[in-house]
Amino acid sequence: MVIILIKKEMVVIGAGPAGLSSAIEAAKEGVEVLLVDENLKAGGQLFKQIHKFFGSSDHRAGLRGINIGKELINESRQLGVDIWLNSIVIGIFDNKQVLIKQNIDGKENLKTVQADKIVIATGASEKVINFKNWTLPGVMGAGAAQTMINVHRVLPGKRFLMIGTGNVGLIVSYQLLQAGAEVVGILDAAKEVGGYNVHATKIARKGVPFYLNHTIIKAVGNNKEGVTGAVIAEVDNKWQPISDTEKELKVDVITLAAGLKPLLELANMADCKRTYISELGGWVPLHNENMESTISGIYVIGDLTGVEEANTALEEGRLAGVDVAEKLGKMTTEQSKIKKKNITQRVKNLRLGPFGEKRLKAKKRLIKEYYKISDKEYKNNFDFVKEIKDELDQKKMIKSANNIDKTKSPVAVIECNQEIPCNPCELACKFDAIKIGEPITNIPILNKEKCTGCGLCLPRCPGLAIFLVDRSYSLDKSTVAFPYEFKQIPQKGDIVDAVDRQGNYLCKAEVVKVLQSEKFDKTPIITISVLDKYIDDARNIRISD
Amino acid sequence: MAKRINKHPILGERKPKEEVEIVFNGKKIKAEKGEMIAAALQANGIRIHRYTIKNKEPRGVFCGIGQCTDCAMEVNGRPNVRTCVTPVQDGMIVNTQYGLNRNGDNID
Ligand code: SF4
Ligand code: SF4
Ligand code: FES
Repeated sequence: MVIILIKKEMVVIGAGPAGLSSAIEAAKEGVEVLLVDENLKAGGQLFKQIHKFFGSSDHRAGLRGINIGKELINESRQLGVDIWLNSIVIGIFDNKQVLIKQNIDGKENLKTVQADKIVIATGASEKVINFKNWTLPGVMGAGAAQTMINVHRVLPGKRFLMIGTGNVGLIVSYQLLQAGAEVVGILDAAKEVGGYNVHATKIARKGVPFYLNHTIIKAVGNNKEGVTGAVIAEVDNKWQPISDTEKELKVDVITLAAGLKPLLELANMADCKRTYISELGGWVPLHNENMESTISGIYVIGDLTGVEEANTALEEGRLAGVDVAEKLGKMTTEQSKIKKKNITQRVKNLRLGPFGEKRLKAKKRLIKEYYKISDKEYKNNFDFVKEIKDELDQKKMIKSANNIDKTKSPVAVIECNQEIPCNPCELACKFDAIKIGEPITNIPILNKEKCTGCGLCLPRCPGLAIFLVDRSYSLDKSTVAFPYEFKQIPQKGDIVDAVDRQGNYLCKAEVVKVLQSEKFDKTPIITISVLDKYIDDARNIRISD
Repeated sequence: MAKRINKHPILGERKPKEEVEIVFNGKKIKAEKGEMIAAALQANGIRIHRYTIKNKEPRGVFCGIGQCTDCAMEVNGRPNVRTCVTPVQDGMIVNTQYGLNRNGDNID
């Protein structure tokens, strides 16, 4: 086999959000970039993310993952990034030589690329949990089910049980429902939902039962059909199953959402030092505030350096891209300093709130260890944990207003009470009625006086957490409007079942308005009318097919 | 039972792609041009891809992105092909893999 030697200033391994954004940022400054990915398509896992993303406008918040993927790929192409797909990096050798097996039309080529800088963005893989019969066909990762339904558009079963209530478990459950599946339950050994409330309420409204304090005992099935059921049980406070609580659910697919672990093989091969931090998903390579690993000139970014959301991956990619450009002399230290400062500030904001704080501390530890090992001087860039705590203590969590002025209508009701890195609602409101401010993890606060009830914030909220309530609709009825992202859209005049936040039947409701617009990006807004006494509970509908 | 998702609230109507045929364990089944073998099998209700060497336990799609090798099958005579990341081709011959190949002759 012929080995061809090529030179490139920067080689990025992995074309997910982190890899793409590092390539883009460096290419903007004129760095010559090669982006390598083993898949047939760039974009990493973005193409299975069909939901609207959190984050601020810098992170294209409110856009769906698939569209972010398309944008990033276009941008990198326009900037002249060389993208090799179906190409596996076999190894990273001394002096930054990258050995790549390229597969073109079934023919394999070996190429060695001599790089000045290497950025490793290999991402993460799903963790597995073992229980009896967990290897039966029909038990699969939540990510696998997500790929099947959203990329391949094949529903791999009919009745699903989701294990794990982190954001992945919650989001994939919602997407299974959108694909037409039945989700017979979502289970977690913990007593609280792991992910964001706004994601949990979306599936609760569809009536999916939450089995908290539960564990899966075994998959039921056989060697011909695979999974036909699942036995679950309650757990006691020592996480032990309580024997007389066992029950069998009829399911044909069990999906596991037990978290992700970084894919370290290449970073290890390059001899990057690593450490174990459970909050970040396990073993992670050490890096400094510019994402450079303990091997100078080799960068590590994205889920590889700690499992977080796509937004932080994008920012880490940018940081590495800027640092590479600076080190290669494509931009002055001054220029790069400003850019890095902005990015670092944004990353910092993404890691606020009770969800981000743990990761923030973990990242801080990671950087500290980097300096311990590489005996470089520790720069105090990430020392903002204390700062944030103070900030949060001062502001205290303020619940969104749920009491509605009876005379003034319609008005928005924001049911988003956790500190998550998200603010599209604030940007959507042209009347300055929603305040989040800095940091982005603040809880949105509605100024009822300013809210005109225009409803523009509803389709923009990725959490589908904003409703529009109009109490003045008629003498004894009120209306509630909500986003509805399912196949069967009701029509004006239809009589449907109104359900509460847990998907329980409340009353009959009339559909009084169905708003669909290009601008809403496939999030129609449905307005229903119900008797006044139901208005604080009616939050969704059920349509019998 | 698995099925194709024709209507979807976000992804819209599924555009029919050119149909191809693959041969699964000697039987012709329909697939769509360019889709992954595993997706075509799922759409045809097939989810057992291989049996393990020692305990002869069935395996099927687990990670769906080419990392776990659970979905490996014998494709055009070549064993251990990860079917979740390998696209179908018209006339492709796909066989359940027993142990290390289609015949299971490595199993004693
Ligand atoms: S309904 Fe309109 S005015 Fe009220 S908060 Fe939403 S966007 Fe602002
Ligand atoms: S209400 Fe605002 S902060 Fe909460 S999920 Fe919606 S857009 Fe994000
Ligand atoms: S399902 Fe894991 S490699 Fe195909």
